[in-house]
Amino acid sequence: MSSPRQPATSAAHDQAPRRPGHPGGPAVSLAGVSKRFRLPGRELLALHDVSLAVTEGEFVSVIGPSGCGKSTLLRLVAGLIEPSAGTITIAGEPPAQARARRELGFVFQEPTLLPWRTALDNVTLLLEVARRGSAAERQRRGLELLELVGLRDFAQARPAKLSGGMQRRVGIARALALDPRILLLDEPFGALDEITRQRMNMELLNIWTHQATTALLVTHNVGEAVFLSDRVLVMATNPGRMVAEVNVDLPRPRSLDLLEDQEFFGLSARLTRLLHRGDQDTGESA
Amino acid sequence: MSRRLGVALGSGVAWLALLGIWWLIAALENHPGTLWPAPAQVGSALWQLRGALAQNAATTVQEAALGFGAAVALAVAIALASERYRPLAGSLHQLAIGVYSLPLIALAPVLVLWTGSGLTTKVIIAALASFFPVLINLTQALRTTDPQALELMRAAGASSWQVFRCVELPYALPALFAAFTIAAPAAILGAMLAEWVGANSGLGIQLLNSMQNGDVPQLYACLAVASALSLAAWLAFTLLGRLLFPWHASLQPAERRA
Repeated sequence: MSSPRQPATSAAHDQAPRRPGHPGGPAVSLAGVSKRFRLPGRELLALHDVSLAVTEGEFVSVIGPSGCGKSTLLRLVAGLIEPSAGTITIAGEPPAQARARRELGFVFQEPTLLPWRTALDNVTLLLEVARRGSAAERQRRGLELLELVGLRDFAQARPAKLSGGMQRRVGIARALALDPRILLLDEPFGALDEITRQRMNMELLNIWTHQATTALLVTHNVGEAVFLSDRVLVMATNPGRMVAEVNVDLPRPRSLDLLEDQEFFGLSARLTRLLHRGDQDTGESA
Repeated sequence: MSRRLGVALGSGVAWLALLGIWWLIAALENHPGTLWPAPAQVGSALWQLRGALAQNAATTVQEAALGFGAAVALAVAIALASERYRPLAGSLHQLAIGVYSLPLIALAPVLVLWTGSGLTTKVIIAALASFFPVLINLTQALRTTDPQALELMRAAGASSWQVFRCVELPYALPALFAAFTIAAPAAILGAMLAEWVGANSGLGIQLLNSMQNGDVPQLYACLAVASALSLAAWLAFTLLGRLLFPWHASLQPAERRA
């Protein structure tokens, strides 16, 4: 379960299957997905005709300006809301089924820890919900996960006693508790300062490398997307839609040194350009 | 620590000042000891009447406690039912507001006609007095549960019972105890009010009798005991809330950030 993955090479990813039905096929697949919200007096087209596929074991980021529907996208994948059109499958199943089989781990922008539970009890919460293992087994698993995120010594601390970065690490440990097939991350470090965020990115990368899960991250931070991902999808607003896709052919394992790499700069600049162009497109069509 | 000491000192001075003003008015009063008995007179009345006061207080506390218990049970049941079955919420709350807007002082005589001047009337009035804050606070708390915590549970495939037990209920409990700190003194007030309409014992009836007999020190002694009861009820639930929910936001220092 914790076998370290092979460093992903660019070749492997260029050949990665992107169509449903392939052997080892897509972990997440959206085809022609649109989402409308009925607001008082008007209708909001939050997402328009979005198609994408995330391969098993891949780390994919979605970037876009605020209001482009990227959080909506994640909540659709989690089955928390239903699409107005199109289909979503998680490993070939509808999201609701994947959710029932506890194949999804969700990390929110706010840590969303339950304040009356200790760090350990927050991590084991979803194991309790899933009635998985005995109390002792859940505790052992919880401590393992806290060890993984470097908070073994804070197992008995309540969230209020933890810093923002620590709270987020507890949130990640909790999301991993059920060994999810897919980790959904909704701007998990958006509220952190730059230094803490970079440190958290590094930790997330280490954790992901050890857990062999698929990750779908939503962020508005270009550097974060490049640093973490195999592939970055760019969205534009009004209506929320996909405008570009960029492969990140940077070698793994990655370290914070990457942040000074020419190629990293090049990719970040390209994505920033794409983000601005997406915005301009909107301006012209409106 | 020194800040706490300052606060304690400040409130001590305030109370002493209040007592001093009271004593001054009593001393300046034309007919000393009639309308404004000096603190010492009230103190001696408290001591002399301690047996009767304790007995009457016990009656009132019993009525208030029964009423409070009934009110909490009913309010919790209604709040939970209207949370589970949203269509019910509107009509249940209209009903509750209707009952709340009945003036208790007018309702008490009606209840005496229906059920006699026994325990029942007092319990019902005490319950009506304490019911509403519990219902409103609990309903509010259940509705304002952290929506992301609810999504977290749903994304993990939790049943609605699990969501309630693990998230909604713990989030609502501090609000429930906050409501108790209002509702418990209200129940004592309700019980005393109901005693005015007719009772054999109780602080309310003792208060009424001492007024009719012009026994001012006893009147003040009753007042002091009634205040002490309300204060004790408030304090008990405040301290219990602090003990049970040390994690609650109202008891935390400012949130720490990374």
